[in-house]
Amino acid sequence: MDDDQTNRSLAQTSLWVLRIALLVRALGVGASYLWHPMERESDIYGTMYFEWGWPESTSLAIENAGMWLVVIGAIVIVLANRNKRDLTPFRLAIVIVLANRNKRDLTPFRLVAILMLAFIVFWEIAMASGLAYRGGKFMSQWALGSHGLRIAVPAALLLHTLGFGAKAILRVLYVGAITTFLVHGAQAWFGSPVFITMIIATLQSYFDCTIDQSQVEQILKFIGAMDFCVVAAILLLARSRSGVLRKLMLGTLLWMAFWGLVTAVGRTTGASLGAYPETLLRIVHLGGPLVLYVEWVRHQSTGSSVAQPNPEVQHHLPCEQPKLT
Amino acid sequence: MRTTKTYLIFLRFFFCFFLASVAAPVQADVEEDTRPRNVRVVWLRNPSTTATLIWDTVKPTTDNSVRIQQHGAEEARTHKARWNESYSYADKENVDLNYHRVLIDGLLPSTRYDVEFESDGQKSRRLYFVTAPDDNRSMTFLFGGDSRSDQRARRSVNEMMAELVTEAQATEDPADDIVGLIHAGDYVATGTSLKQWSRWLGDHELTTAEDGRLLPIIPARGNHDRGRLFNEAFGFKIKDQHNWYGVSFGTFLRVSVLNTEASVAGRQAKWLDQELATNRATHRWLVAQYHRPAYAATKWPSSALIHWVPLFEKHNVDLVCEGDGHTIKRTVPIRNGKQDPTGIVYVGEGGLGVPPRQPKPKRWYLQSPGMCGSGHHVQRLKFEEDTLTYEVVLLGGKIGDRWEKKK
Ligand SMILES: [Fe+2]
Repeated sequence: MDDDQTNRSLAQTSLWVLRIALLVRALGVGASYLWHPMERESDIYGTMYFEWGWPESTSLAIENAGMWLVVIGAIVIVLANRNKRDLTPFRLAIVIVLANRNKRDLTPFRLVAILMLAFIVFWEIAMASGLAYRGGKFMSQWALGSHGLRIAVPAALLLHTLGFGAKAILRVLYVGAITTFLVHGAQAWFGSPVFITMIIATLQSYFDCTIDQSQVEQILKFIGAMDFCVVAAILLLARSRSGVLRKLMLGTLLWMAFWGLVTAVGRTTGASLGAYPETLLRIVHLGGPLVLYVEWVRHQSTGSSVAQPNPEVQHHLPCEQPKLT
Repeated sequence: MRTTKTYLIFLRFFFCFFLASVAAPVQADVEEDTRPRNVRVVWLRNPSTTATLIWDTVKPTTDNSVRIQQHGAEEARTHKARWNESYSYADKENVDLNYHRVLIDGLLPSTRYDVEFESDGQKSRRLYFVTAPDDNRSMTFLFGGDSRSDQRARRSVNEMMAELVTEAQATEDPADDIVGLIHAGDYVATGTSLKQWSRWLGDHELTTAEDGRLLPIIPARGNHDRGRLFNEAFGFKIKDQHNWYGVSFGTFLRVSVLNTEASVAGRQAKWLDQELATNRATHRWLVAQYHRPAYAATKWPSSALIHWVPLFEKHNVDLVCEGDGHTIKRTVPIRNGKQDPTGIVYVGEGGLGVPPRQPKPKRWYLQSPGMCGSGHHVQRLKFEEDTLTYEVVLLGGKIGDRWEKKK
């Protein structure tokens, strides 16, 4: 993360990875909390109803409204992005409804996108905080950490839409990835019962392999240690300039993306196909590290001397960038 | 002279009164601190001949014992408490509470035992418990879960349970006699909060009938009961992370208690397979109980659906009791993920003292002939030779649901 990244925008590939990760997670949110036959309520509802004593109907209404906003927001972000060539009927509808020609710098798209993304970030933080506050799951007191990437992905898109450069955005993604791996690593190290069940079930169902629980516990220790190593590698290698170390960083980021995908898929393979929302919810564990990987590759290939200002950002937001370092 | 004498008498009287008024509360406090409280009987193994008796004192005490006497017999035995410890996490909330535990064996089945708990000279009132039958007679249990976050409702439901025990004793039918409480977990909101456990344990005393009959408990661990206090409260080994076990009532009934907070696959699933295979062959009725539901009325199904339900079906368990959802539910009979007259019925979801939730009646397994509802409640399970009768007793005494299973 060099200084030139401050003004440089994320690559279009990265932005699309973030948008798609956001959309897939939102579909997971929709399935889990709205339309799956086994849809349930999150800890936002739980906090309002059980902890604060609000009426159940009010708590449910707020919960469902929030979940719908997350889904709709993600669809808006993906469909109504700011590339004018991608004019969709949906985007057109928003233009008709919200167009305000007097404020060129704050187009309806951006305004909607900013509001939607800000809400999604808030909602993600609220879901994680609710879980941390209410407890009832293994190491759930660290939910803000384990949900790091769920928060960081929409936050990254929000920062981009607000005109922040790559440096700030990547910093948020790095923090999200680190806390996610750290807490999941700790859960693995301390033998999360959910992880044990997931591994045993996946091996049984897909590999016809019956494995002893004590072996799984050993594997989990190894997985936990791997997660800690990944975090350590990122912290140590993020500023490295040597070619070998940079390649190691590249490998680490690729591993994070791969591992994020494997563990997300494991949620379904470790249960049943009906549990697909569990995988969708965790697709940001693939998306976030993938963006870090793409940007690292890009950074290496462009070198530190090439600064690429974000033309869209400058066009839409002429205000000064905040100093981030 | 006389005035001086009167004055001195008055002064002496005043001094004595002053001393007494200062000393009395101190004395009362000491008594209060060492008074045996939160008395409970826990059934973790053969309930016909053994019982775990646990009580608490605020302050640590050195001489702790329970005097036990078969009702009507002359001879009484005194058992010293071998486990006398301060509860874990006491420093966290600055709560003083100590537990004292006695494991008694060699008891006679279906027998009333009068018990008196004593700590450093302070005695409890005379209470009693009845050991479980082992002669295949019919019997009744209370079942419920989730008593963690509405103390007023919890106290009311506990009082109702005590009344149900008393009423059952008064009926003509000995099969009505309520022998114990099967609890599906979530006693407190924060498992590591001794303050919350202390309140729960105090409230549990309200399940004691007016005549002093203690209601033995068969506890399962809920998702909010993390940490060591669950083990300490119910007499498990401190570091026990399994908390799965089976309790036999003769060869008439076997209650298999599972733990959804440990891995449901692996060791526990293996144990369950063995447990059900062994006991299906020897017991008339098989019941399983645990916290997180496989066929949930509001929540996402727990992994029990994948790992335990096939075992329940393989071994034809008679009834499965679940908690966690804060609703009332009874599923249709289920086999292979479908309604099937030979299938297994899942009941429960917990309402012993939590804000009740609205269930999701559109879930296929809750539709008629199944049911779902909402409200503070306890479930009553009556096991007879050929019939299992299930009832939901709502707070206030109304019957919210009734269902029968014939053998
Ligand atoms: Fe629960």
